[in-house]
Amino acid sequence: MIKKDIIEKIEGEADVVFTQKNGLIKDVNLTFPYMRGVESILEGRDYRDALVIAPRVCGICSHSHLIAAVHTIEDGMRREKIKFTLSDKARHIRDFAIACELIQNHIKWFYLTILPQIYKVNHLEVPNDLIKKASKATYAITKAMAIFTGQWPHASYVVPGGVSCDPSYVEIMQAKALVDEVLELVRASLFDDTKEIRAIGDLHRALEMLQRADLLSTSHGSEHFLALADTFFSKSGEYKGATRFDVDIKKVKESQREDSKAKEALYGNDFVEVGPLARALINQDAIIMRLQKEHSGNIWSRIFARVYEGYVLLLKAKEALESIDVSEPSCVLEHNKKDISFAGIGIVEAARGSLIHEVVVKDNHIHTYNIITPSQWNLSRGSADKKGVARASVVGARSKEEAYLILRSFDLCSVCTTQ
Amino acid sequence: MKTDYKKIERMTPAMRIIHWANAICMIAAIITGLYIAHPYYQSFIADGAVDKYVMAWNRWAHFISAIIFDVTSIVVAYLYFFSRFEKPYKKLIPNAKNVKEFGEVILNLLTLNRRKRFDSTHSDSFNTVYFTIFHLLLFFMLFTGLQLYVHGLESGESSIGTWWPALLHISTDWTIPVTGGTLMDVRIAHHITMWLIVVWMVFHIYYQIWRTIFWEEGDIAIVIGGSKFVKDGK
Amino acid sequence: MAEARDESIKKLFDAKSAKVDTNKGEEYFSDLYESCKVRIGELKDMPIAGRGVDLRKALEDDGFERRDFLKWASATTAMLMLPASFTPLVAEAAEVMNRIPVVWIELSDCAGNSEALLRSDGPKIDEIVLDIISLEFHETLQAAAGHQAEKQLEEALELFKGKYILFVEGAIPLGIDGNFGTIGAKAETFKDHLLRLADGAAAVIAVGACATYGGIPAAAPNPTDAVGVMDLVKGKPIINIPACPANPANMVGVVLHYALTGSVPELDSLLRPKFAFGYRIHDNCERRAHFDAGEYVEEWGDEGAKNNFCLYKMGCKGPMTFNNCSIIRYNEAVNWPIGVGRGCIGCSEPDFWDKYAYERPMANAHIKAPTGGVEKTVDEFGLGLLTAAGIGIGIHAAASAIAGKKNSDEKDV
Repeated sequence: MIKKDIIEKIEGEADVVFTQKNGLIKDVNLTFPYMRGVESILEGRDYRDALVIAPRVCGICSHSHLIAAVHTIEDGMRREKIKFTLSDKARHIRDFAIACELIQNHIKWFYLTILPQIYKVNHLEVPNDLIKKASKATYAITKAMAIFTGQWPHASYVVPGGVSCDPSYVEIMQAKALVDEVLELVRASLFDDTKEIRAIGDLHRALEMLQRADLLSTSHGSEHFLALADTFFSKSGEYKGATRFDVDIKKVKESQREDSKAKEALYGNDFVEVGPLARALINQDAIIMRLQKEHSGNIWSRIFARVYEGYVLLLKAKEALESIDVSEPSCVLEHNKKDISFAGIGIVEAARGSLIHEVVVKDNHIHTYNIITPSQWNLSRGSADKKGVARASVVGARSKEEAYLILRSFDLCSVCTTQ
Repeated sequence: MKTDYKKIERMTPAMRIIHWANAICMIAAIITGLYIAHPYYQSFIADGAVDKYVMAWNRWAHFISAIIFDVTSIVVAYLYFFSRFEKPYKKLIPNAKNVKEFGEVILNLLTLNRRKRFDSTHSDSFNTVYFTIFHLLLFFMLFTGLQLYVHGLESGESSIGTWWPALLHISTDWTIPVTGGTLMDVRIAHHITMWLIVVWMVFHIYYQIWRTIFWEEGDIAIVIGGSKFVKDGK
Repeated sequence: MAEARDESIKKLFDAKSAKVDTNKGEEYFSDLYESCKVRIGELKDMPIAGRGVDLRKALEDDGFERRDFLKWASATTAMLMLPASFTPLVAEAAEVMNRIPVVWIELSDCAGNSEALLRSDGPKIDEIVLDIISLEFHETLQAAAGHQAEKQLEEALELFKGKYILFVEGAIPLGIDGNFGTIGAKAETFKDHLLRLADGAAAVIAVGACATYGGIPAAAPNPTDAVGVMDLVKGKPIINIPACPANPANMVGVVLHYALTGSVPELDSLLRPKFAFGYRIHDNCERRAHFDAGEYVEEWGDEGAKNNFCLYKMGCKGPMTFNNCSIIRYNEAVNWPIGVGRGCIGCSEPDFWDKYAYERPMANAHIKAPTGGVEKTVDEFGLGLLTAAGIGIGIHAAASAIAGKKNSDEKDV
């Protein structure tokens, strides 16, 4: 019996068609009936326009797109030996903002996407206060971010060679207080870190409910992970069969699907999982490695890894703030060349995984611009024999709600997938 | 051989004052306008902001010259129709006589004075059309400029009363859709028109000098003394 | 398109567009006061739509005192350009806002406005006030999905027909018969979806630059042929709240104004509420003194940048942009783009993505979009024209010098 269904509760919207057999989900087809064509909009413009337009690919990860865009330019300049010096101060400020965006994404995803779905799988009513819980933390963290970025979403404070803001100590202290506020919230309702990291409160409740729904015994994961960017909080790598390999950016491939507006992304010839779980495994994080072993890559390790990354990033964000030396310059760009040509690639680790921007600039103008987003990795469809990551993990789900839960554990984001 | 010359009056004192007021205002508006568009010199960092006021002075000079332009434009528009000296609008009517004269003046310019079959004792049709183009450019400049200016009077108040911003809106809001729909289009149009006026001015000066040299009638003196000389018997 | 052109020509001489009249006289305001009182009374008697969150309780839960709320109310009264005597009414209106049903749809967008509105931005009380509006339907936010969500929407449309306020986020792609964006099981195009929902709405509020003017999706070459709400919806009151992202305080302002008066606030010619878009960023900018003084940042990270000089030469579009973000700022009023040394990009103005360009001085920016425009800067164009004129004159002068002499020689002989 084939049953059609539509899913909408993912950021933006995607059509989901499940195929069921004997009450179990046999296959799923995700399509994105929607596009804007941001890549073609960028072509022909001055390369610096990317710093304004690229963040607007997505209101959810706008800062990651901004950083990816500036990385493409800086990478290109480096290759063309155009001199610029990124000061430690600029680096720390960027890192802090990256951390903030990831933190708010992780918290929001947990409270607004995954937790309600876990309630639903358990046939329980979704509590009313989840939005409030999430917004308390996200208000504070985006506020801290805006001290340096001016606004969120769609900040534009980054320039090639640095940042435009020049914060004072007072502002740094203000940001620190806000980070502490969030840390307190996280310690009250997600993690106990007094001795060792332990899930408490809402996170523990999620675990209990997953247990009750019997979702911990079956595997809903992949075995092939990828993180492409080296960042202040994670290293790049490929993780396959419990071994870590170095990455080769040349192995990234992209192909267009016919029935959907999204493109697929492959590494070598494989579909790989990207995101916080991939990052944690590649970084050989002890806690996540243990979880992964215990639960052999089921949904819990993916959920825990993401929330846990939020917690780790809070500490890193504080570290970044403490390392800012206000006497350093914010931006040093020494080139005076009028028309520059370059090709550059910018990779960042966004909330949902590796994000790639690629640009070819001729005489200051963008010749081609290509964007590969995290959801393109996880949501690639593949073929019947070789299914994409999210698609494969849904097979065998016992109900539609369970399948939604698994899909949402990857956090489908159609907004930037279809650009 | 001696040629006899006859003195003829071409510009009244009022016209000459307007001419030079316009010329000075135009230079001032261009110098300050270019600064407003893109501040091309820097002020000394060490001075306090209140002592410098560089942009503010530039804008002041720009607006003052614009206002003088406004007033002379109104006077010129009046003189086009009601001047007791010469009524330029008569030369703008596209009748056979004016069209022929217009063509002849152009031919005169193109044949490098080989052919001169028109009366040069008064303002010819070509000259009048050319000046009319200038005044149209100027009007466009004034409307777009005042539109840009009224942005800063958004409260509807001004030092001379609320009628002024209201009048500016009534008379200049049409420039937004006409230039392309955004305030930026108004600004670009204002900027491009400046260049058109500069080009106009360059040809104007050249043509006056060329006429003086080739016609040998002392045309360049008109704008100073108000008169030129034509060969007697003409 | 022809219709739109006719309309814009009609508007050519429309003088009321930009003027902000803050003092309409005592009589006007006392009449307004009375009608607002009646309106609020009516709302009070109406059943609470949707979730029925009580503002007082919500504020209490979040640890706000009555005093904080009244402070907020007086600030909001000022923002709406009403006299201070309206403060108690504004406070009451906020409390009965949950009687007004709201439907929020997302079309061709990046979810940025939803993000700004619902989860991360705005002064806190604004947030809570927004929280209590009875959001009947919101794709990103609501719990239901798929068929269930569609059913909820249909029910809300039926129940609140002619009463709900429709918030629209995102542009409407018209290319390939609207098939660049479809919604729901029946693959209804965004255009049809919008028109159907707008039909039963009391008013349509376009939130963000995309819904207002087409936004980034409409940037040249406009691959999906995207347009804004006001290009499609006719015969309904439309309020535009542009900017990228739109400021939540202004969304609250509009809904509150509607609750208070039962009508849309005074709008400018681009249908933006004047209380928010009546003033230029430039005129309320914290760096304005440096503009007047001629003190500019010359390059990123220079001495000027360290001293918070004016960003005009870095391409700040504040002098061309009407918005109130220099006053109310972003993210709980903590900061705004100019506050972090980055110029305004003019995101509340039409075509900002093509015509306002990026952070380059206006005078030497490549202002036009990649297609369908002059690729040269205005000054290069002007200088080119001047050179052409100069060359023409040079040729003419040279020819005259050679030919003219001969002529006069002949005459003299």
